[in-house]
Amino acid sequence: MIGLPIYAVAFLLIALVAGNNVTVCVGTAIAGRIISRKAGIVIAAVGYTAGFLIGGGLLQWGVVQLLSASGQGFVFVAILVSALVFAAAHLLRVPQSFSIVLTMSLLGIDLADSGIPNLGFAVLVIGYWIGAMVVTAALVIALLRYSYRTLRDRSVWPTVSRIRITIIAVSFLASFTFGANTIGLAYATLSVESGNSAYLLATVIAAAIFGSIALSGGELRRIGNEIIALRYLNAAITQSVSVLIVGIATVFSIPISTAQTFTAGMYGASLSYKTRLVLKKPLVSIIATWTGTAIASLILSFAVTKLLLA
Amino acid sequence: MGLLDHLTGEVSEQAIFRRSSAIIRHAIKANSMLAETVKGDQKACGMAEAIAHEADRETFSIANSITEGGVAPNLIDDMMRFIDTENNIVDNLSTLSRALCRYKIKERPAAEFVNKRLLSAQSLIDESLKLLLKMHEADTVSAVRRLRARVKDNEKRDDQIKEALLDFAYESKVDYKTFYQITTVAYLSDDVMDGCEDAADMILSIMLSILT
Repeated sequence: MIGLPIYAVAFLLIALVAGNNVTVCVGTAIAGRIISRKAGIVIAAVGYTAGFLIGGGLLQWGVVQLLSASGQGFVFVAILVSALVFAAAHLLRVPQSFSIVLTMSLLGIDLADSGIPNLGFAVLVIGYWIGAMVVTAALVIALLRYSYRTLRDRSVWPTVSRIRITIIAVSFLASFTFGANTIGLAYATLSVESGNSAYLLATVIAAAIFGSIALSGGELRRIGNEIIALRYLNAAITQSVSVLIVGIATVFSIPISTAQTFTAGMYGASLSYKTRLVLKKPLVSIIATWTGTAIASLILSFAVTKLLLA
Repeated sequence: MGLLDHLTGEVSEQAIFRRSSAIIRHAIKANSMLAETVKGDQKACGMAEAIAHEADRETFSIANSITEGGVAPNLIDDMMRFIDTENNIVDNLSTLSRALCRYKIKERPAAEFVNKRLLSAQSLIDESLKLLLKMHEADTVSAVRRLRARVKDNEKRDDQIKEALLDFAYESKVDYKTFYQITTVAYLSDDVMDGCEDAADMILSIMLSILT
């Protein structure tokens, strides 16, 4: 059984993560003015909850592979480290990969304690993070080029209608896979310490809904100002591929964030044009942020665990 | 627009195209007033101006719809420029009508030469405007491309009319007012046709942006 302070930290963390990722899940539909901001938030909240309830249990096996038995007592170190990193990301209003932060925190605990229980799986997870971005970009490029060739002779307006409906559908699916993978990861981590409980389940669901409603404002306001609005077809394909990659990872209990695949998809969409101007700086800065926070999470959780063990 | 409207109704960009075809209809009316003006009907001048005011109101209303409604942000600027270009066609037709009413060429051979060329230009403009209307309603990119190619052909033929008018103005022995009038109407007529070509280019460009 975990105490109230830990519930509070977990609630805040999941709320921040959920709010931070509303942009990624439903941002393209909102930026394209297909749905309003309110409708987007509702889709995100419903998607998170449905994904978590239906697919959230798939990440439990993965968490067990990443956290040694004796490290279970330090799972709250991972939660606290992740909460600190995410609070900073929320203040800076940047998309952050919770999956990377929490996974590296768990590995940091293992390294300070008795070692990583399933090193092969840990390597697979990190390899999947890198490979997923490359595969996502490549798939988006290929699908967009194929679509450009085949859609030009189709009736424009019915095709655009179908694309817009697709964007709404994949926005829901993106929220769904986020709920299954990322929120599922958070729940699986917490339940290692506390066990499965109705209180924990209710806390996680409440946090996800609260976060999507109350903590997504900053990121959503940046849409259209700083985050480039994708064209309809680009948005549909980018989001679809992102959902597919995250869905596959979820089935194999691999934690991965929607932000990673979506960012890679956006760059793939830019590269699909014959004449293009693609800024490297934002991609470099995003990857640097994720890498930096991954290392920071690893070191911080390692240091705190060593301190507590001493 | 609510979510269900988006799902079941027409796409916002399609609605804008449909509404902006009203501007082209105003242009067709203004162009027919131009033909009457060339033939000597003074009442047609005032009517062309009234049509231009109507087109301005319509353009303002459509502009509000673009900024308030469900047009994708990456298309807003293009859409605004597009309806502005179409509105300029009507304005230029009104200005041309006024110019023709303001001064009548006194030398008969010059007047006949200019009027004949203007009626040819007016006919090309009429054809191009009707092609633009079809482009508004076209369903595929390839259909839009074919119609655009015809508008461009008309623009090239109109350029020849402009050149013929300018050559006449510089080569003939007419007074300065007549010379100025001929060059003015030549350029104004060309501006109308250029506007049609620009609008055709924008329709294709916007459709490609939406679909790809």
